[in-house]
Amino acid sequence: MPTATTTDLVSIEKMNLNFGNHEVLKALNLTVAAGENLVIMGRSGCGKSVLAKCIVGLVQPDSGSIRVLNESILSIAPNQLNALRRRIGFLFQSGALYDSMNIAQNLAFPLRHHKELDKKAKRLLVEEALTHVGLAENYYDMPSSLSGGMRKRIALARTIIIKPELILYDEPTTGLDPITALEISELLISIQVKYKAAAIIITHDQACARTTANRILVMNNGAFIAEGSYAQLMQSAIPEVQALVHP
Amino acid sequence: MIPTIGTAIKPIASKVISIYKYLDRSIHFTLQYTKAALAGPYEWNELFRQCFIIGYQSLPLVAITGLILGIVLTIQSRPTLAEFGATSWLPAMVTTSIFREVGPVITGLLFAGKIGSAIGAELAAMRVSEQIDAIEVSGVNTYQYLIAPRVTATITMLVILTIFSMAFSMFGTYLGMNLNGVLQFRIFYVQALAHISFIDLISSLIKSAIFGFAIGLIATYQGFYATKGTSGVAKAANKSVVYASLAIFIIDVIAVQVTAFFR
Ligand SMILES: Nc1ncnc2c1ncn2[C@@H]1O[C@H](COP(=O)(O)OP(=O)(O)OP(=O)(O)O)[C@@H](O)[C@H]1O
Ligand SMILES: [Mg+2]
Repeated sequence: MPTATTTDLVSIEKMNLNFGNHEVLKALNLTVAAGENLVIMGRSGCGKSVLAKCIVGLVQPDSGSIRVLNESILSIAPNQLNALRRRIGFLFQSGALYDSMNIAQNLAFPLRHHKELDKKAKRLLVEEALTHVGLAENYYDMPSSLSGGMRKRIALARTIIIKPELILYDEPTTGLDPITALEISELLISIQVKYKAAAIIITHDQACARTTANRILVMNNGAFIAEGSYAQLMQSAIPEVQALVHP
Repeated sequence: MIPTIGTAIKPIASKVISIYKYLDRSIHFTLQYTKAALAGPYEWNELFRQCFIIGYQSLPLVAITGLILGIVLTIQSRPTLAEFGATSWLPAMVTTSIFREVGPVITGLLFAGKIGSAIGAELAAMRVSEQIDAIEVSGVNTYQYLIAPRVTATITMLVILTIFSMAFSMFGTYLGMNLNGVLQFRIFYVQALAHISFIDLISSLIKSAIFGFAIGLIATYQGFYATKGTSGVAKAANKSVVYASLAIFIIDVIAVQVTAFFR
């Protein structure tokens, strides 16, 4: 098998995915190096969220290979997949907060398999994560009583609470005002430094991309069309790239 | 274009494939539930929470329905029995039909409506808003956390509430008897239970358990595999009720044959 053992946290080779007759991902290749913040930009509907879901095994591609944290996602046993997922953080575009649980319970949910933590330690982690996103006083609120932006920040807190080795953020700043968006972008960087985590950040937000990216991939119609730093992409002659990246 | 064998077969083939996929998925789902329910580890908190939601909240409905059923069956059967001068058979006749058939089936249908739609809609809403995906991504087994507690709670609570329903129906029957003159409860009780055997009770409760299994499994399946969008939630709730009610009648027909064999 041509799966070179590298230090890459994610490596995807020739991944194809169709929904019916609709080709969503076309022969995608992707690597994420340790400690790197990789930003993926692209127009709405080009397949960014689907790509992120493939990486954590929520969606199965039709062909190709996906290695995450040195495991092959497509051939892994269910129990091992669950163990692997506990080392990965995933921020859903929709937030996906649990309606039936309050904020504290939402945040504690990913910790339920961390048996080494007692009740008090979990409570401290929850409080710490809430403080991170500036919502410490909403501890006992229900998700339905929060605004869209607050829900997004709670979802972000839930994503990082397990101190993941790899984090996938699906549009972390959409729906937030510019000030909060900037705070979140700075939070993403501090997480990168503090947890030494690698991240895939999916976004259309130029400010967020510019602040957080070590490297940017531009996606169009299910394929990557450009790669580089923000400054490099600004020089690009490709119209689709110019439309997304400008000063 | 001249139709070739290929173009004629294509729609049939895709239909066969989709039926096959549906069956494959249902069997997989049932096996996963069975595995989660038998092998554990159990989500005790979730199980108790579901038992509370499912059982406690259905109790008033089941009790009132049972009571009214007892009264109505008694009043309606009286004239027929009176024609034969056999009104003293009334308690036994009504109670037997309630224990053997009406109690389990009516409680089952109430559950299919109330619990089936609730579970179907709840899980479908969770699917549509990506909450089920979020649970999976946390490395939590959704069969253990979402499916097993709901199905097991439906089975347990349907059996328990069927017993409640039978008790309330008996009380309703007693009230119905008392509309015409006073009948001592002790006498009524002896008359009513004279023809109920242990097999009647056990087979009814086993039947209820199977109803509960069917309702729980159908509703969780419909919710779990709901399609996206608000209409997906409505569809899941609707299908849960329709398929679960149908399943109850089908299981009932089979159960009648099986218990007749043992009687
Ligand atoms: N479950 C699904 N079934 C069928 N088609 C789907 C499904 N999920 C996504 N698609 C299709 O795949 C394509 C890519 O969707 P995706 O959600 O990845 O877009 P996106 O790049 O994340 O867009 P956005 O920026 O708006 O979130 C879309 O055309 C969408 O219609
Ligand atoms: Mg998306």
